[in-house]
Amino acid sequence: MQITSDQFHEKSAEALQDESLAGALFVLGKMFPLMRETVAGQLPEFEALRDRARDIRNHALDHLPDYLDAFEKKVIANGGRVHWARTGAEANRIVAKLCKEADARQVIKSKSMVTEELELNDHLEAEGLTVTETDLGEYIIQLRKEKPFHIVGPALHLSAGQVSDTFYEAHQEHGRSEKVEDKAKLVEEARIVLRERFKNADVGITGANFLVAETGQIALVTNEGNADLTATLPKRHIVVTGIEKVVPTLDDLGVLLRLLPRSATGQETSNYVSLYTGPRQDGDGDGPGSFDIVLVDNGRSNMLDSPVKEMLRCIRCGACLNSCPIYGAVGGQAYGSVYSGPMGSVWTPALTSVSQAGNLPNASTFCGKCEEVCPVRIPLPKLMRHWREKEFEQHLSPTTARWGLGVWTWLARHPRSYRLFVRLGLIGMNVMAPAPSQKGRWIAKLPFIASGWTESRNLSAPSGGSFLTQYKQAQKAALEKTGHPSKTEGASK
Amino acid sequence: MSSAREEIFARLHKASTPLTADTEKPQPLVPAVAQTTGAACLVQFKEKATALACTVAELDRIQDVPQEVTRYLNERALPADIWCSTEPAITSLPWAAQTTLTLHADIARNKLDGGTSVTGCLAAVAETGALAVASGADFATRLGYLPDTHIVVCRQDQLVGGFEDVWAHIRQYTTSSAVPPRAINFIGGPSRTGDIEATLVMGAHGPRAVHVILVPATG
Repeated sequence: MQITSDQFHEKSAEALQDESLAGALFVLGKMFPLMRETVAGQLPEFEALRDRARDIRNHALDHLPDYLDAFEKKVIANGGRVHWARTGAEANRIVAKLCKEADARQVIKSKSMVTEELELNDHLEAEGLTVTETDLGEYIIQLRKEKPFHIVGPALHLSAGQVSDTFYEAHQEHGRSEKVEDKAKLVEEARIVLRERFKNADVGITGANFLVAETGQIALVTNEGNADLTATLPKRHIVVTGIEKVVPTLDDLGVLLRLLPRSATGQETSNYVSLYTGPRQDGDGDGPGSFDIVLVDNGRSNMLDSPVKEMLRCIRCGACLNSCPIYGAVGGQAYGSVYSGPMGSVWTPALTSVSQAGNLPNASTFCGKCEEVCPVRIPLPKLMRHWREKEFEQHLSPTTARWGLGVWTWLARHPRSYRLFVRLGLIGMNVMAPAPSQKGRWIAKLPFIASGWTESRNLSAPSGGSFLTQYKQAQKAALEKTGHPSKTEGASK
Repeated sequence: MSSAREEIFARLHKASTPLTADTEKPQPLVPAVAQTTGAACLVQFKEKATALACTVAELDRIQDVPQEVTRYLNERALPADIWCSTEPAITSLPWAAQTTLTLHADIARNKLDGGTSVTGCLAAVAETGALAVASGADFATRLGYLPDTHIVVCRQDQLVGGFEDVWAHIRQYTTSSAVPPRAINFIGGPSRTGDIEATLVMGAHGPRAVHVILVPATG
């Protein structure tokens, strides 16, 4: 997985200047959480289902080799084949070989984050194959040669005008000469172009939302129906997914199917939920002649044996992205990884390294909203903190941050010095603040390393002394009033 | 050199515990919305299916299905050409009486593209309002995806509460070591996308309209 997370600061600064992006992020950050909350509120068992989902995913991960083995046996019994890939490169080689065996030239794909992680399309194209993404958002970013902006809505950062420009350029060879900006017309245009690709494709590649050990089936969830056309029309169906996606039974799948669409897009159900068992059977009216599943490790087995194991529970709903104030300000492209937002900030260092992706776990205010909305209750802030600790241990964090933490640690251990420091700081800040205006007292410019804070906003001037001074005053007042130092207001909770 | 499978499993074994007969497994949890029966099940299915942008018609007699298909196509000014699944429940209907309708048997992708299909279903799921269909000799999966319009005939005894009722159907195969159908699809109304500016647009890749015709239970 190629990442550019080291450029997070530059890219987020650019993103913050982008007004059309701000509009898209505003809609995303308001609409999806609101819709999620609404449908979650309509399902009385929602919180209990989240507990159950967490337990199911934990159970599957605790016994992963057993369930993968059971899944594999069922797939083979159902007439399919299973291939194991240690790395992304190995997975790409397997898929290319399967395509070659079928003399394939045209490949169609439905959206799969794992294949984004593997950069499978680039590999297949280098092997001379034509690859077409069919999820509308993925298709748009494929034409624009971009990475997904969001794990559920890959092209949500683009305006209809930008999509129109992209289609206008790409579709001229299909005889589309009219430039349209109407969204329904844009969808129609893509439908017409992609329908022909569907009809002519030799191989269909899908991911899998879940693997069911009980039956050897894969589960696919979409709103467009593109995964089903991909799994049905071509001669071959290749499934590429991560080894962590297995669940024990259909009943377990049921629990997760109730959480995924509600958490992702605020829908009670996705429009298409499908189970695929294997290749075409005797007498079937259609279906692929072969069914191959490529199970990808690419760092996952190491994650299972690590402090970020819980991240493997993830069902890729994107709720943590939608609710994150950082993602909501800078968007997915700034993360420089196909996995963005809080989940991406934990996955990306795990699949690459903390030296390459250390910026991402730092891109969090630790407000905890991501954990609050996660359908499988992944403690995302805790896992991001793990990477921050690793970063510190490996001496990768910036000098100023290390120096600042050092000073803080020393002061925290020396209360007298701490109080002196606070007192001097208060005096200094009061000197820097001008006389009070109607809007209160604000410091416009802080010196030295603190200058970054006041670059884009003012700092409220201190008032009423330090916490300790105020606490002592309150205690004294209580003593005078009641005769004993009671718990002060505010501290009583 | 060990195989990829061996290497992956070796790492997984190191980080996991073996599954035994005593291992505690998470118990199933089925929400109330997925457990309706009888009249409530019917009411909920109609409500949810409509919310998914399906249209629903209820007939007193299954023999009236061809007439309803004609009415539906006329109302929407659609061509009177239909592609039916070969399920006995569909082929045995009195199609000949509908003189304006033309039935096509060739489901080649170019023929079916943009047309109207008429099929039965495995179940109608009240939990979500979706229709479950299963591939087989008399049902080609593409019938639910390539046409612009999909008309689904559902007997009232095919109404079920939730996903678990369809799992029970799949288990009829697995418990006897048979292979379940290649594809089980839950079709929740017309195809749609929100991929451009998060605006919902209908008719992304699959049908633009799904019409459900509910008929009485057999027997």
